[in-house]
Amino acid sequence: MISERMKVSGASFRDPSGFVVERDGEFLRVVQPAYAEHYKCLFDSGLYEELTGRGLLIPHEEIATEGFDGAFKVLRPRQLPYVSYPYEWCFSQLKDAALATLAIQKTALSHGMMLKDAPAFNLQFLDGKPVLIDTLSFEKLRLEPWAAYGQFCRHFLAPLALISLCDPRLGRLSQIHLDGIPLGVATRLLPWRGRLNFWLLVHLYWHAANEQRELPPGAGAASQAGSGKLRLSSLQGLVAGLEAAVKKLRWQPPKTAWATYYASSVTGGKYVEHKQQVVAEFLKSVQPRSVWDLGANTGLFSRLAADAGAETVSFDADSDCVEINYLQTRKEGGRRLLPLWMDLTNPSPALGWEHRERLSWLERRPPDMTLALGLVHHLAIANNLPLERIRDFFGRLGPWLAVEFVPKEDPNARKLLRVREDIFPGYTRENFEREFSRGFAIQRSAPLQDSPRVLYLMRNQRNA
Amino acid sequence: MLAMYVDPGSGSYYFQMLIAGLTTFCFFFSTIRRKIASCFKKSTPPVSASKTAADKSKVISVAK
Repeated sequence: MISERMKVSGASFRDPSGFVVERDGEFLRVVQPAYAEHYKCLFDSGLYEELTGRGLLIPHEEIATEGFDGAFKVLRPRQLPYVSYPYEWCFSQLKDAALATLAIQKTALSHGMMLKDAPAFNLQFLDGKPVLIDTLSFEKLRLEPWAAYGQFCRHFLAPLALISLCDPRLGRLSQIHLDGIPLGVATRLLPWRGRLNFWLLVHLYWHAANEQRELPPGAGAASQAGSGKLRLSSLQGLVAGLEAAVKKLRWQPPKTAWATYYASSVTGGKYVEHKQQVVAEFLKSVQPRSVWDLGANTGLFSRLAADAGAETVSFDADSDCVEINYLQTRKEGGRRLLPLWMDLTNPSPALGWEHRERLSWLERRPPDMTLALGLVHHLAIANNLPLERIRDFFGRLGPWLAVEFVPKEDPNARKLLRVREDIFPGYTRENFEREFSRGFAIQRSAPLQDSPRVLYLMRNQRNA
Repeated sequence: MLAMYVDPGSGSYYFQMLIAGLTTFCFFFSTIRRKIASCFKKSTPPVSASKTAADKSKVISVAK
């Protein structure tokens, strides 16, 4: 039993080893007595120390168990600034998370332990790197087939192969298949040349062909010990083969219009430089702890927020931009910046059992400040969204908003109108200011140099 | 209907037993390859004791 002050996480019901609760805005992990033996082994074997030292496992401190009747331990892990899901990651984020999972399994095997599950949801990005957040994922080593092997292939190998060999947008299949893309679906979608990669042939194609087999009588984890013995070297070889399969998969983003946006002549002159200066001033005056950059492109302005000390999340609907942004962030090392793939006109929904396992985008903790730069004309003109609905949407986010108004005479807005009828007579600067004044207090407005665009700093009246 | 009673994990479990020989070979092959590769890697020259002592004295003098 736990007290009424606490709320059990909607995703935390499968594992009898423990569960996650939210108390006063903090996430705690409750360890049940059934897991005591494995928990002790995690420390006695030195595995916890090694994995946390290498940044592969989230560190925690043990806190008092008062108020948690029957709990063996209560852990307070380092808190995550933002929770993201694998279907919001770009190719390299998923690949890094896959390699981190295999590195954890390899290290666990050398310490006499193993991962009992391997869903991609068990990893989150912290300081720019994937980290395992489920401390209760370890069990004492049993020399039998790895129970998480199929899950690893469905959650990591199948989507990575589909992105690498077919199309990056197939990464979204993970949103439909919460326990990973069925291997039969993946192998039917993959081109024939997928078979030329030996490890894909083994771990996807041959694996898929055997997925529906029933276990021989007497075999399986629930049966008597010794029925399905494997050598340690076989388990280590399995990890080495999966590692080789993942490492061989590559994807290079093409040079799309968005990925080269800031280098294009349309946004030339002093525009970008001046915009950076104004955004930096806004950030300095607000001093937000967290920032969401919506329509972030490759993260030029997100970096200003991260440099100002804010935990920053860059959202973009273009997976190429997210990939470029992530690779740059990884190169810079340990930045407080998380690029994510998100279409604001169709953001991630609540998913899973009772819609409570995976949070919708708007259910996650809102930021102190939202950047909406070069975005409103896409929402209003390309998506026919009335200004008042755009205002209401921003009103659901944090207390501060930096928003750019792009008028119809702007060359990029003209491009949007070139192929569609102008049914937006109300899309003017005057109307924009009038509509936004109904939910926000306009604190500052700055016309941008070499451009008809205007940048506003607004205070959300709902959070005032 | 039969597929409803086949746990997706059971096929993966069985498949690992089928490829156990291959994965064992993979482990020994990757271990041998790593050992051979390490023989060809340039080893970093060991820092001589006298140099380390000289460096230490330099640090101390700077600290003063």
